Amino acid sequence: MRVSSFAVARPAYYDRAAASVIATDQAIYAPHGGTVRSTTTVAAGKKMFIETSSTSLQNITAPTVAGVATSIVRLNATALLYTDPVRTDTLTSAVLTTLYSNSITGQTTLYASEFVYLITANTSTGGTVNHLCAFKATLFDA
Amino acid sequence: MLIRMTLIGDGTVNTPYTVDLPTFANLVTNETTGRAFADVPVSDVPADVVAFVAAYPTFDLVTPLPVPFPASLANSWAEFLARRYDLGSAKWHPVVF
Repeated sequence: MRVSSFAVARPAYYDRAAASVIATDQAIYAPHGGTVRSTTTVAAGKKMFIETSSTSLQNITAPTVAGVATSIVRLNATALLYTDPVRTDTLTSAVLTTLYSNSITGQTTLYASEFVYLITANTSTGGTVNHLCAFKATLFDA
Repeated sequence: MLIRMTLIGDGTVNTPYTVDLPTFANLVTNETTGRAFADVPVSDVPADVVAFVAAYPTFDLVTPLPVPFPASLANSWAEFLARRYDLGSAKWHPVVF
């Protein structure tokens, strides 16, 4: 009698050399141009699930001229091809006692060569803002 | 490890200031001098670049390096990253500045 073999199920992603990637940028900045504070790139043969990400802003000292302060978690296919799933903006001169914040929880997939930017910017004149950008992901064999 | 790099980008939200590396954190910039400190994973830096950074420590974002970053080291770093990430040779060309 001939016995055929059954296909062996592929291990789940969390059993394929999985490792957590956690990136956070939190600091009080004076006004500045758009700046990538942190980036993470997916190497060949890997995939990455973005499991949670968040941004927030809080005016610490008032600007003399209010511009737009921004915190962004950006997912990039290339430097110019991207989406900003989590982003917080403020346009106020008031000192804030509470954070303007945003967050997502899900399982967005990044493929090889794609990357995450944590970006801050502030077009005000004077003043300082507490920016937070963060994400937690799992990187694993594709 | 902390490395002072050449800043690229124009400071807009579409093309923000950054450094030419696949992975880094804690970027601190000086747009006037075009320099930035980046916290780079040690696994992304070849030994000859580590030796150069150790030989010419930098303490601010203004004072120029006593010697320019050699083109041979720039090439070896680019090739090192191309092998490590396996995403093609033209992807990153980081420069200590």
